Amino acid sequence: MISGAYKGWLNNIIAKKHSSNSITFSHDNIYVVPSKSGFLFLFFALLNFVIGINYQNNLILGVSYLMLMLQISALFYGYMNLHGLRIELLDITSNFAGQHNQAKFRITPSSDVFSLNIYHSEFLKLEFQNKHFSTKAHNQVIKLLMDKRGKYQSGKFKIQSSYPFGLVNVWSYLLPDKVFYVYPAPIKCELEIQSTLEADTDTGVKSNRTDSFEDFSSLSKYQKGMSKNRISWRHFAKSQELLVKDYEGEEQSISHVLDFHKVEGSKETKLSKLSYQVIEADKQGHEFALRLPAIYIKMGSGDVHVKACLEALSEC
Amino acid sequence: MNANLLVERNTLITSLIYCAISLLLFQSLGYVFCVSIVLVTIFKLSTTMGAVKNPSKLVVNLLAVTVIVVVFLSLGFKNTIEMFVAMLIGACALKMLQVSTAKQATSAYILNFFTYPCFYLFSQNILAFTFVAALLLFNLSQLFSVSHNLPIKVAYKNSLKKFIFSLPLAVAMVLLVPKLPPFWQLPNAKSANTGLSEDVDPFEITELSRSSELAFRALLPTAEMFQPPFYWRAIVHDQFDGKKWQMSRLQGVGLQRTYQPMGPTYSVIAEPSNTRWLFTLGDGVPASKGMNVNNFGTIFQKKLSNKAVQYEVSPVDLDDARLTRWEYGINTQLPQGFNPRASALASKWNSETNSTQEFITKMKAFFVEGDFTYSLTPPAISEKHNVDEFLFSTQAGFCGHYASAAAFLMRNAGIPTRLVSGYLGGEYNQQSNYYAVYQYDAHAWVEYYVPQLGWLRLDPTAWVAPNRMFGSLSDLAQLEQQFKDNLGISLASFSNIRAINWLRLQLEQLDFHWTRWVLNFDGKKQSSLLKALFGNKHNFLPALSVILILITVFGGWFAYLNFRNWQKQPKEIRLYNRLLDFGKVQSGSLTPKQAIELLKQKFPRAQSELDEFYELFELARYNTLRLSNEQYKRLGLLNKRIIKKAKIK
Repeated sequence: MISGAYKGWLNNIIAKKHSSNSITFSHDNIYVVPSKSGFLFLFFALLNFVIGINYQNNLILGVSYLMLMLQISALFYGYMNLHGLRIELLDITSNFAGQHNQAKFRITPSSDVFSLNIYHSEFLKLEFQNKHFSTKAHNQVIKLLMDKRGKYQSGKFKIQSSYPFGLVNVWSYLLPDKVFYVYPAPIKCELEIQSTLEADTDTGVKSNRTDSFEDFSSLSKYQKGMSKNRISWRHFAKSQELLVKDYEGEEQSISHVLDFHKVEGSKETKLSKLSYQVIEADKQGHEFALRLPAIYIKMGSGDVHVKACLEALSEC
Repeated sequence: MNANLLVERNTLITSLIYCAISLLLFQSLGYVFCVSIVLVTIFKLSTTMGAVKNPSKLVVNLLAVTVIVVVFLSLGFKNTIEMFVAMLIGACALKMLQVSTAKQATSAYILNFFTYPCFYLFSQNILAFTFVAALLLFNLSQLFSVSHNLPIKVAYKNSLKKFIFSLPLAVAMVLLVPKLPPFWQLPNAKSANTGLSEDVDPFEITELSRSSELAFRALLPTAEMFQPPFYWRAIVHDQFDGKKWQMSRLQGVGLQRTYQPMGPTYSVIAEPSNTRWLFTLGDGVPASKGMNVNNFGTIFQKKLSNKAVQYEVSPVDLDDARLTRWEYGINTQLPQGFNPRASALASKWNSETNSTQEFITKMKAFFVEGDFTYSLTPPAISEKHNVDEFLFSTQAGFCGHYASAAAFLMRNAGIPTRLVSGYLGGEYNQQSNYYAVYQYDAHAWVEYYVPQLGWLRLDPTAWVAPNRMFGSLSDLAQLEQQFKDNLGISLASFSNIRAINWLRLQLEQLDFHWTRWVLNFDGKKQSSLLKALFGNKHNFLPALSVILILITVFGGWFAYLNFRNWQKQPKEIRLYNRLLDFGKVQSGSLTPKQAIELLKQKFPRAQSELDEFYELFELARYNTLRLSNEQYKRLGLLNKRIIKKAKIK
């Protein structure tokens, strides 16, 4: 009970102090204690002290005091190691389950920093151990390996160092407010082309099939969020200009309604299949809508649309 | 650098260090153990080179059992401390076979901070000190190297700074932290193999092996009573069994006589020896704690010490004018049926003389007129009648021969006589005013009893080699060659080359100060140092000063580091931060412009100043040109003004 309350209180304080996307380490946000090795070191210092006293051996006694001084000064060295260091979480990219989400950090030390480790309270195994930095800004990408789809808070990052000698444990926290998604891992399946009336009535979009992809009517300037599949690379090669092909026809050539209820399997399988279909439809440049039990995303295309669909799938 | 490779390399070096330590301690730990450590090291070497696979856990455990058995068999339970150290080094060496991760290596290197100083249990001279200090520094670098995954060279540079920072603090603590008495008794390590032998058995020795090792040093006050020759008494031998003179059974029994003090005290710093019998000039009683004195007026330790001990002696005149009947019996005792010719000679002299003095004169004449020579390489005498053989045929020997023969003759005449062994002479060090006495100064002579007068000294060797009485044996010109042959290779054997002799004396002096001030820095010396430092407040000030020193050093250092960091920032940033701190604005996610706006809202009075401040700040930050001095001044002024105005509110 008490430890629970204490933990809550502690978390509260940490949340208050460290909730930010960036942190500059200084006296009020660095925590320093001797590490496990440090206590072992002190234990041997004590053992040396006992032997030095019992044998009245000034040299062994001196070694014992030397160890004590090393341990005390290590606390200071450890503190100064992180002091002035600035860490900023720029972004965490979303990705499919089983692949890496990437947390992008910007690390700006004010002096050389040794043995920096970054841990996370929930995501284990960050590959960021024992890294040394010299004085200039560094961009660091940390891979987060997630295998469960969902919407994630960036959570609590622990920035830690055992410099010097591994005798101390110096750490601080970073609690950014970033959000990222882990999309359902795609499972290969048929991309069914839905040209049903149902779709028409639902969306008011016609779904006439035209096979002639080549027949585009005009070129317009590429804007962020448009499907990359429609970029006219030929023009890019000629004029270094990103142009997008607008297809002829009444509206878009093909469109799908990706329906949660129409794919087979358990819920997770369904989501994974839908995930595959979203990518596939985007790849082929088709328009699509997504129907999930709780949400319906209207017909659309382009990166923003794909992202919205995948996020909806992750959250489902 | 690859972490595993780094660990591999470091552990290999450490294995070699263990091997070196064991070899250096081989006299204490025994050659069986040393050989097994060498084998383990070879094993490690071959696994590193890839010749042998890394051993499995089972193999290492089997090796551990083997090492334990080896230690038990070769050292046994008697040498507790040797066994303990051997086990420790053995365990560490085996651990090095197994270590593969940085974490394991870290704990191994931390353990080394306990393992390496164990060397000090066996030897504490300056060389040993430097050796272990270097090992500890290197070990620290290795700890740095494996825990931060950096090459040893970089790690060494980094750790050296930290080591040097802590060193003077540690020294200050040794000096100032009050010395505690031992918590409990621990077994001591045997560190010395030299020293006097408890039995004098000269006759079978053909070559007196003597070492140039130091026996002890003496600091004598300038008083008339301290004049050469210096006969340092240590062991009394009063039992002759026909072959050797055995140590008296009363050697370790406490003094039961009265005595009168005779003069100023002197101090002796005795090197570790294989016996606990210490050295006094004539008769003396100890003036320092932890020492005992026996009926012969010589001082001894309660326990064998493995380090140099310093003790004070006050010279006394023992009240030994009377001899009890049993004492008389002991000191005239002779085995029957030995040395008939010598016995006959003694009886003849006895009948011709009326007093002990006359008897001695006769005996002296016999030695001086006879063809006796002093030799460090006498022929061996293995006959039963060894004294006869020496007196009438070989006629060559060293102090043991002459003392034995003289004592035998005198006991035959019924004069209570005993053999005393100790040291004669000493090398005077003019710079530091002490006498250094070496193992090769060991000597044996005779004491005889005269009613009403007590025990008197007689040195029959002096009749044959009168020069031996003054100065050290090393000064004897005619024995120079023999002496050097006996010493083997050492600095002392080259002492006729001036530069080397100078070097030897300097080293000797350094060692003297080391022993006196570092190794023997005990509670007594500490309190006198503290008295000199703190006057009569020395009872509580030292402890306080330790704490104060630590606080000031660490506090000052910490402040300096912070200041240095602070100074690294340009002035405008420092001023800007000061404003933010003052206004309690969290700048984490704000641009300077936003922050200043926020300040403006907080301190409406200072709006114009804040605007100007921001202008200058912007100029300084985002222009490539540096601000002029006037502009910096203005910035500082604005900063002050803003704070002032804000405070008025």
